[in-house]
Amino acid sequence: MDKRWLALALVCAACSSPDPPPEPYDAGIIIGGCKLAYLGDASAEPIMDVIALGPEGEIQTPTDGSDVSLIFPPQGGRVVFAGVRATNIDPCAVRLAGSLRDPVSKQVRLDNRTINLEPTDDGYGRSAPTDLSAFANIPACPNQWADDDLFDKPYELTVSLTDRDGKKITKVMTVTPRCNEPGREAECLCMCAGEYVLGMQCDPTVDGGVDPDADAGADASDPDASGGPP
Amino acid sequence: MSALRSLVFLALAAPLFACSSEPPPPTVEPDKAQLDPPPEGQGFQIETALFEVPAGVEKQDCYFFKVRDLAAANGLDPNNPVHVNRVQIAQRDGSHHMNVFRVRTIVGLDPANGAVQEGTDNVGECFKSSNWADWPLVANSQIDGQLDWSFPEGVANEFQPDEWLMLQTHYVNAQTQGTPSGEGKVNVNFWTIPKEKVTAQLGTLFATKQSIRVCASNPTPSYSGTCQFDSQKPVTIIGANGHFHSRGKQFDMFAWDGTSAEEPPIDQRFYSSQMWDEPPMLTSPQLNREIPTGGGVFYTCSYQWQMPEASLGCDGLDALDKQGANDCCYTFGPIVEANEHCNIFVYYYPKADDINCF
Repeated sequence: MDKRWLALALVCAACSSPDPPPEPYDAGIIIGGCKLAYLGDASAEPIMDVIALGPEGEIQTPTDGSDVSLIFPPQGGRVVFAGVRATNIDPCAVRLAGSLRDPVSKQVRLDNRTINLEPTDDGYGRSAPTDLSAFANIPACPNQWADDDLFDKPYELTVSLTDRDGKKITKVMTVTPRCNEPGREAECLCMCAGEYVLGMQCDPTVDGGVDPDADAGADASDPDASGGPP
Repeated sequence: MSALRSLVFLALAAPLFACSSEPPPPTVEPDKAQLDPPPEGQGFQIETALFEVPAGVEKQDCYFFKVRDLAAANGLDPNNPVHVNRVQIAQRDGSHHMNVFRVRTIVGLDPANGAVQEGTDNVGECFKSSNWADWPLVANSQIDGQLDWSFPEGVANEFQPDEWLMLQTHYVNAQTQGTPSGEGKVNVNFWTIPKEKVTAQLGTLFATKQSIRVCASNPTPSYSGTCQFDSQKPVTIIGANGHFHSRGKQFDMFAWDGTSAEEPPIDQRFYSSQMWDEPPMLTSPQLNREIPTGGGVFYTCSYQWQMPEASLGCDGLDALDKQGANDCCYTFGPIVEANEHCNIFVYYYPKADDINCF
């Protein structure tokens, strides 16, 4: 390099960015990135089962006609935790898309996210059972969208998985959401009911969930949501 | 001096000339938070105190105001609703965000506990989002300086005399965001119009994705969700802004028909931001997007994981991770250095309801 350019480069380096962003090193080791091995056969078509969290937090494998649980998540309301178990797919940064559709109104609720599949001993990978963010958190309740109750009626569950190479597999099935999480049934039945209106107070201690003495303030919403604006 | 020595000397000395010049003579910067209140009978002003934001500190304070008191103080009828048609927000540099909410369910933040309730570094009720989970959005800004937004003619946000408003201000004076003066201040003007001139009410929509993680082993995640207006007729979006922290790289909002599970086509995108610290606030008349009956907003937040600041380190992030993954993850929360967000703020009319989606 011409010495003048070298000097100029040094000058510019000295002028720019006095506090460069830290490099992704920790104790001299590069960290970051997914290092999981390919699952199964890269040349084969992907295979996928839909999995979901049950009322006790257990893994279930719903198929067409199955029940799925409406679960109280940290963010409040009720969601269907829909995940996958799959093979013949790159487990790193897969795109998980889950949706629940009202078969009457065709309205849909969805949650899409990027996850890594946790390898299991059988050559498959799955949504890690202990990681709620590895499941699509499909927001079902409070019911401000479905024509009917969100529970004990058929809904269409769709789950798609797409890897970094564009390999994609989709499963569509009819499921019946249930308010069957122990200790939370009444509140679920209230906020997932077809006649639920925004602001209705769903008291978990009252039979059926609806507190007859509570004001139904027009601007209130999910009373047990544990999250909110920043 | 050899040629090489000369070059080295030049390289070392040049920055002194190239980078540091004589400090400019001191000038009196105009106070960006300075805002004259509306004339008597035309609205009211809410404001924070001038407060200190020491280096290394995140300050989040909640101020409470009763609409009746605000109206009475500036010549409006304290016994009737007020109809706000224009909002002005002025903030000193260093603001991470400011929000105004209508107070609803009281959890841990109660106006009865004081007009000002302060929080520092994630400690205090003003930092706990569960305290305002069902409080409808009224106004927000994430930009330093001033925002002046007049709603379309006849569109107004109605407030009842006995309603409480909460002004929340979050200032950061840390590595990723600074408060140059070391002091924060926010003023907000609400300009009103007579009830007879109101043709449509303004509604707001707030949505947040809280089950998010930006981890070393999954460094470029994105999260998408939807939120519906629940209206029996089309509505028009006239204001929008998105909120994430410094790992955020791309924030998009689309008009959504309520029935499509796929991301809407690009021509339906009405908001796009790559700026986490000064995200654009789109307002009418530039933003005027009709949403069909049954529709809503589809939004996506995309991130790039980064090494945390040295003072925090992966150990610091891991300690905050309730899941205990030990994967150097940024998880949902208010602290700019350690947490991430994926929030949308949308303003529309005619109002079906104020909507919060989680």
